[in-house]
Amino acid sequence: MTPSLLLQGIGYPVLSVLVCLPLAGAGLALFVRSAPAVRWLAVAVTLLTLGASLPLYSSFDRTLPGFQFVEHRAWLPAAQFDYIVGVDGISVVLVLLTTLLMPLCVLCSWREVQERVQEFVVVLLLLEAALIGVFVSLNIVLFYLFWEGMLIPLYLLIALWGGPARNYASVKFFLYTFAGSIFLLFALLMLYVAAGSCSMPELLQQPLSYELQMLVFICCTVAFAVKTPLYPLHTWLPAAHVEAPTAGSVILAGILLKMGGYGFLRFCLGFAPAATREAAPVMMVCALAAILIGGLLALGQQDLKRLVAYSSVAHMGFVVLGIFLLSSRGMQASVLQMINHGISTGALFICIGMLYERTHSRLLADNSALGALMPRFVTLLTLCAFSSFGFPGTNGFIGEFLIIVAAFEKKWILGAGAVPGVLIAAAYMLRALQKIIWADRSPHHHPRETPPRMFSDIGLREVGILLVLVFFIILIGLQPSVVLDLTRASVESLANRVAGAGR
Amino acid sequence: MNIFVRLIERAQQRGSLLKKLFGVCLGGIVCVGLTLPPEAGHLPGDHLPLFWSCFGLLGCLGLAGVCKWIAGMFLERDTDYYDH
Amino acid sequence: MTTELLVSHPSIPFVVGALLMWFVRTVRLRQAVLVAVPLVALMQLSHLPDTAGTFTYLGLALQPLRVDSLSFLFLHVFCIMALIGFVYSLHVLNPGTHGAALLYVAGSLGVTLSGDYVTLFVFWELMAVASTFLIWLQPTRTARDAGLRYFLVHSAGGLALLCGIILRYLETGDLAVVQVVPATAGLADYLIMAGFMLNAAVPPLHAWLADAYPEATITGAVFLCAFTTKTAVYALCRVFPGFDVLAVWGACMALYGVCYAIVENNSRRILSYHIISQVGYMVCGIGIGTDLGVSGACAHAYAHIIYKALLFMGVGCVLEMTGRQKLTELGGLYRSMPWALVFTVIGGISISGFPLTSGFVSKSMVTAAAAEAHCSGILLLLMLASVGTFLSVGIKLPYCIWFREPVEKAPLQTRQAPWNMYLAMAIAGFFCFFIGCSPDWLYRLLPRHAAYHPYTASHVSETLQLLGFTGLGFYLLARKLAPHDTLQLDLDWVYRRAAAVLQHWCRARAQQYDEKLGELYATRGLHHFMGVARRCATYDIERIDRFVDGIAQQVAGCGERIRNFHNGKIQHYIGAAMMLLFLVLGIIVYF
Repeated sequence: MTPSLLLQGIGYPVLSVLVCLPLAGAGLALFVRSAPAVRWLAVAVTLLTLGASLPLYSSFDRTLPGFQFVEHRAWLPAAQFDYIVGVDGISVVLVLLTTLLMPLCVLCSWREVQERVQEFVVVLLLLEAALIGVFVSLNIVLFYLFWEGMLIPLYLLIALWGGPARNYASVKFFLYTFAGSIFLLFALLMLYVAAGSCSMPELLQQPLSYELQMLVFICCTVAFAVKTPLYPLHTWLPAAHVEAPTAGSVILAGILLKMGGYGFLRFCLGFAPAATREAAPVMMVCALAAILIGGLLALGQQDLKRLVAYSSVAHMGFVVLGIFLLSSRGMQASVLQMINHGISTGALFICIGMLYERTHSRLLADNSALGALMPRFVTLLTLCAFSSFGFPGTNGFIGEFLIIVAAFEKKWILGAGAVPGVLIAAAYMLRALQKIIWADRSPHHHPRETPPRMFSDIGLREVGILLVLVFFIILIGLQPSVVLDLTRASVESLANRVAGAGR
Repeated sequence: MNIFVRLIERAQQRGSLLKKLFGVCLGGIVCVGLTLPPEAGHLPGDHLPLFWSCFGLLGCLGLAGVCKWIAGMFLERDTDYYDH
Repeated sequence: MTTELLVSHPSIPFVVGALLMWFVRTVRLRQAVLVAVPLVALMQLSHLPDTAGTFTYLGLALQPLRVDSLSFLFLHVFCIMALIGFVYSLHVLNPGTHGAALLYVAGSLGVTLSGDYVTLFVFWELMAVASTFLIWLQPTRTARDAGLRYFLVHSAGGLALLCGIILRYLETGDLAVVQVVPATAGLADYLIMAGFMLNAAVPPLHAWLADAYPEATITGAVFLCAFTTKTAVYALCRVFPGFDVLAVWGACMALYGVCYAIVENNSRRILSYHIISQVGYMVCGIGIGTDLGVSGACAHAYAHIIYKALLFMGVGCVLEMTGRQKLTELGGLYRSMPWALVFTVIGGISISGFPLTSGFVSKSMVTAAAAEAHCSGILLLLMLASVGTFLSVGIKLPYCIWFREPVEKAPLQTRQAPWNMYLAMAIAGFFCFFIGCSPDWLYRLLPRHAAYHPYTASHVSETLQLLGFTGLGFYLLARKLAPHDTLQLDLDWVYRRAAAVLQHWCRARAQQYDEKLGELYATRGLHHFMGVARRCATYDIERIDRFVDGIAQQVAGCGERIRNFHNGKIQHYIGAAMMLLFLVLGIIVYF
């Protein structure tokens, strides 16, 4: 085994366990018929997975840039299809994010999903396995397998449990992502043909010709730009987010979009560093466009979920900007921002889901004057919204601040272009918050003639879910080193790799 | 409370007395101003006696007139201007 | 070091108080907390260390506590103002207002004490959020909209400040809040100055003040008028003394505020424009940069906080008792609220600079500094602003609210104002006279030593001449100066119109454009794709299928014909077999 891999002695193959536990749980769920029982099974399995992933945080060696917790089993040597899994600084935080968000997804769907609960749990657990698999695979065939494997469960999640336009949204999502995956497959095939190996660590050692790098970069970029989503390939996102059930939206925003960012870091920067350097200005322009246009589109929205969906486009624009600044600080900040976005946007979607359960509408006009009726909810919603637009003290501020600093370091105009995005984010978030909390008492506004509303404020389960996320919002906001320490070594080695790549 | 109200009502009843009192005060100020030596000139005309009295009067009239004119010409709108 | 910081930092009692507002349910206990917190802070002031050391956070060196004579002066007046403000708002039952005010003061004290830009920025943003809630808690739609605009404007200012801090850090690697020499100021410093100037409401970044302060809660406005702008004045004083541009700008600002105040109708809006005007004096003094100028600016800030709060409290009293703040709707109130009249008049003569009041001993320092520095133009503007100040808030405001006969003949419905409002006004009024009568008490606190004696005969005479004849001018113009119920456009027209256009465009056009982009995959991509698929299907059915079917049919036909061979005649079988044998033998021989 090459020195870049490190097998740690935890006592059990932690990454395989993380992939197989949800699979086993999905299999078990096929036999459980009653809805309450299968829900509790889902909670148990996801919590168990979370518990199994905690050693990743505690035993991770923060000084090593290479892959850790590696497991290597030869499956089909003739087809170069080995089972290699491992994590480095970048993927370990993403795996931890996945295992953190999944139990919350199950809990927030407790009352929302009432039909076909068994199938829902199976789909959710399969999805978790696929997502973790994507982040831990070190063999490109295995990676592609998990990448594609996540498409069907998510399609089903939207198509079966989604909103009124779910067929349209699920098909659009599937077509966009699948089209991108074709490009990814092409790139992976080219990599295999050129380098003769399917193992990522080995591919990282081998330098590729510039032309091949550019081809790989372009194909991978198309695939990951659809996933991220980067402007102008973002248009599947609003439809998918709006029509998906709450758990689907949380997974989409919280984890799926990060696969795009992860792909950029691992494939484009890792395998095609010289091409990345050449193409970085173009990508940064697209990122700035995503930040500004995503923000402007969010400003005009009346539907809460669409508003948060477009805000996701803007936030991932920050992430892509940070990645393609190609500096260690920018990349660290973008990984941090990915985690932050997963937590705060996941929290926002959970809040919107709670609102929808009560008011059965996602329109701002129907969800107003809730400050007096649901004070606990409104307080937590305010914290999550502040985190979303990056108010100091929350996790969002640290991520955006570091990206803006890195942008200013590179060229001041990049920083100046990204700053209005923060202001626009504040504008649409506060406008939405203001409408939700307070009533519109003016002579021009005629509220709909509805009977006085009596909503229950959020209960223990819902407060618990939001408190977990708020805890991380504040923890990362005050002490970002909990994330930054993990990513530092890997990001620095990646940045050096890109800087040192010859043309 | 009642002291002030009564004072003010009594003053309002004797409007002409008030005006005479005000005139006397102004006269006193003028006298003091004429007797005291003026300070070193910082503004042109500063050394002239009663410069500041004229400045006060003309400044007040000028400022009020100009501001009212500008506001009337360019700035005044209906109170619900921004609601459209 | 951390315990030392926690014990000695005056912001901590305010933060603790805000948390207590959340938990404490009894009204009496809350009121006790409200009064106790500023007293605790005042006690802490007497035991402040010079510094509580530096911390490292994210690789940056932070210094949350740094005290010198400049910051001590501002801390002093902020704590006194906090006490006055909380006494004024004792009667308010909503704990949210109190919590927001406590956090607001905590932010202000934090900025004053910060030794590095990161701490400053954190407390700056805390001030912005807390003050926004003081506006939002007023339950009218205009207040909500004004609060949103207020927060967005302050966010923009905060971002400019942040960019300046980042650029400064990248250029110099130093985050300490220290004085910048005008000759060496770069883009980073000017961005930081812009951030400070926005909070100080320096035109053209001033419109938020007159937009938001009249919409705030009654007690909230009292806090708002004191803290945001004066904290920014402190920051300008700390970092940018001696910048000539500030001197000129400040003088123009002083006159600008007064001009708008003369024509305004809303009483709190008049006072808001006077904040701009008086802060102009302070900015001017900072810009002049001499010892007298900077000291004058600080003294003026000290006095201004108290008499401006007094004015807002008086007018707030009227609003509380009648529910109105427009001059056109008020009048003849001396009968029902004479004490509010008395205190507002005290505030009015203080702001105008009558002898024996705090304004006299503080404002004249700035004008004396301008005179000393031979800036005739600046002096002219400042003196003209004095005229306008007395005209507008010294005479016109009390006259229109209390003396003039109301437009409506029916008497106004008035409620009784709670006693704590009068107590707070009395405390502030006392300070106005106390500082005016014994100015050395204030001069002792000033950061730079400047020998100045306000009570000279010529100075008193000048002031009395100026104010007396301004009064005469008002008497002559009384009818012309009657208020109209109109809105005066200010520079916020620019961004309000732009925001409305942007909002409309985002809602209508941007969404349409994005939807078209989103449907491209269906209109172009899918459409052509399905067309190709249809053609393939047709080819499949027509050509390939038919071809394969054709072959199958031929084979079946052959089979049918071969079947017909079987006619049962053995001679035909033998004949066929012989011919086949000869054919095979012939092929073998040939090949």
